[in-house]
Amino acid sequence: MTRFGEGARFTLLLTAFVLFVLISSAGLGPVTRLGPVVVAVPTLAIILFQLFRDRRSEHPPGGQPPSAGRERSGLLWIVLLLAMLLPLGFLVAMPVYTLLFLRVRGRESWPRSLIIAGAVGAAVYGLSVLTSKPELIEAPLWNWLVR
Amino acid sequence: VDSIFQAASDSLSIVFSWPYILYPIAGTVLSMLFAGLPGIGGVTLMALAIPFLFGADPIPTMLLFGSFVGGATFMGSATAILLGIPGKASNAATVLDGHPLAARGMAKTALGCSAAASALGSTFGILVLILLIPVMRDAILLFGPTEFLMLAVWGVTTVAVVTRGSVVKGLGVAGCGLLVTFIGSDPRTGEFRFTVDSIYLRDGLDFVPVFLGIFALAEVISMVASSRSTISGRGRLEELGGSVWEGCLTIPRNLGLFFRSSILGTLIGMIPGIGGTIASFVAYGHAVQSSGPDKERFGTGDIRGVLAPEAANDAKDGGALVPTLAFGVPGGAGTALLLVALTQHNLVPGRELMTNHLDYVFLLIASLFLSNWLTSILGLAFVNPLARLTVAPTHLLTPPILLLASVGAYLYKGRIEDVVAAYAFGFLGYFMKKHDWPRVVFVTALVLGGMLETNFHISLRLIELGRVQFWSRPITVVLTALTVITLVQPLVAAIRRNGRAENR
Repeated sequence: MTRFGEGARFTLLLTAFVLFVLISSAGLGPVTRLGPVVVAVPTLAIILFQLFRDRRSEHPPGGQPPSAGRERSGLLWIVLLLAMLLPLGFLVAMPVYTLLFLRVRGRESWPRSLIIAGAVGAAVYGLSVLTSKPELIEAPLWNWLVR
Repeated sequence: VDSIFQAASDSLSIVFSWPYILYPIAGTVLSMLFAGLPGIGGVTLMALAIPFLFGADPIPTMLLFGSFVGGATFMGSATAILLGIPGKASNAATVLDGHPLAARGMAKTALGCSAAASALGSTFGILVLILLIPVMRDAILLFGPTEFLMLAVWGVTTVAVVTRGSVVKGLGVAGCGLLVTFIGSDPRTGEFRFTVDSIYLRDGLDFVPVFLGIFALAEVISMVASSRSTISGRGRLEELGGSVWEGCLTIPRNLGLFFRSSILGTLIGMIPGIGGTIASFVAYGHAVQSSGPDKERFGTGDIRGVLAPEAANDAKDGGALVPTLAFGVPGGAGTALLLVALTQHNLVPGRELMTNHLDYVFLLIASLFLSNWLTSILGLAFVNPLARLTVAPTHLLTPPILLLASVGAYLYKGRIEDVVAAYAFGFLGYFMKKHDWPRVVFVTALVLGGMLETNFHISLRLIELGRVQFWSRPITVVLTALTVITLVQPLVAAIRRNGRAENR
């Protein structure tokens, strides 16, 4: 079985998106699907050609890629913020995340991490007041705790 | 012409009045801070600013965006000269002679030359833009649906083909960008397309979370995933030598080269997608060719190798605004974001903007002019502390940018789905960057997708009704020919390259 490199896997993802558009277009009216089909057919041909080229090329484009471990941990740090934002809301998630990021990822000192995390929390609160958006403070978990 | 003078004088009186003068100054300083961070750059700042300016008065938006475009110019060349790391790709040509000059202890001379060439080059480009405004207003009247359709097609294909990297990837990502614009309800039938039964997607994807993700978040992800401990990867900065005044005097001593480089930059800037990188390298090549017997000095620290690319790179900003403001065709990421900011304030590029809202156009121009001079003056005054930004630890910059991007995505319309969409496009942008799929092509296709589909349907209907003959319209034919040439040219070049390789 042929293994796909990382570059080819990304191209496969784009191929899947174009295929999704093409297949979904079949269920649309003739006028609605005209534009998407006109664009999707040549795009699919181009991306499949790129996929063929990616499979032949073993080396990733560009310069030195980041190490897999470092990259995976970096991506997880970003996912962590999103995972914290949804239940906790901005006012809690942003400073807590900043503190964690600076202490664990940046190996920053406690005082400096606390000061920056505090500043981030103050910035969120200030933006909430300035823009009259209390939702920046509220969140599902926050609302449940207050109740 | 009277209306142009009136709009120009009105906008100048606004720019230099209190408190509006603060906007270009603040925009320039912010832009310099962001542009001083190689890899982050002024485009990230623009993406971050858009949601915060949504619903605001259009005057501050015009003033800030003019200064964002102008303010980013000098700092990119400062890092190119001092560290050999261009702030933007368009400053890469400056590295060739600027960095060797700094290594020889003449950093201040190179910075002085770069600052003067930037300010004067941008002034040249802006003057050309102002002179072209009456012509642009008449030219727009010649454009109907078929012309706008082919202009959008030509714009997307040109950006896809000429953007650095693989042409196949450029065209592929342009197609994907266009397909993303089809998500949501069809403008003609109202039928929902590709929404996967999500209510959020029924109105289509907004530009703001997509652009925040593709630019700002993708850069942060790239920074977190990389092993660099500082933005530039360098640990410390060296002391600067040379004379700023001596650098400034390079312009009058090489006046012919300055004007030729500025003309090249302005003309190249008018072509969508060509951008500052090609403008600066073409000007650098011209400087080498026209230098006579001392060609060998280039690449080892010739001041003309700083002057030519910097003048061209800044002159192109004025040129790039011609297709952006007149036809809504962006030349690059910066102008694409400018278009988003304009449309947020119901300022639609084209005849409407160039006649009824000419005062806003001049506000943008005045702010661009002011910020280009401010950035050069402030850049020279504060080059040392600004350059220290490049050795700032990456982990200290990550939380503030994440905060601005996340809150910005949410504040735009108060929907948490926009934050999720911004992060999704952030990951997409990161992998596009990593695997060399050009992001600028993707966003250009997003911006032009609506214009393309609307004019496609109108053109088809008019042709069906016999009201328009596609091939009897000269501008449509010329734009179609340009599109075909743009697509065929790389193919011909590849066949020639293969032929030469086989002959060897």
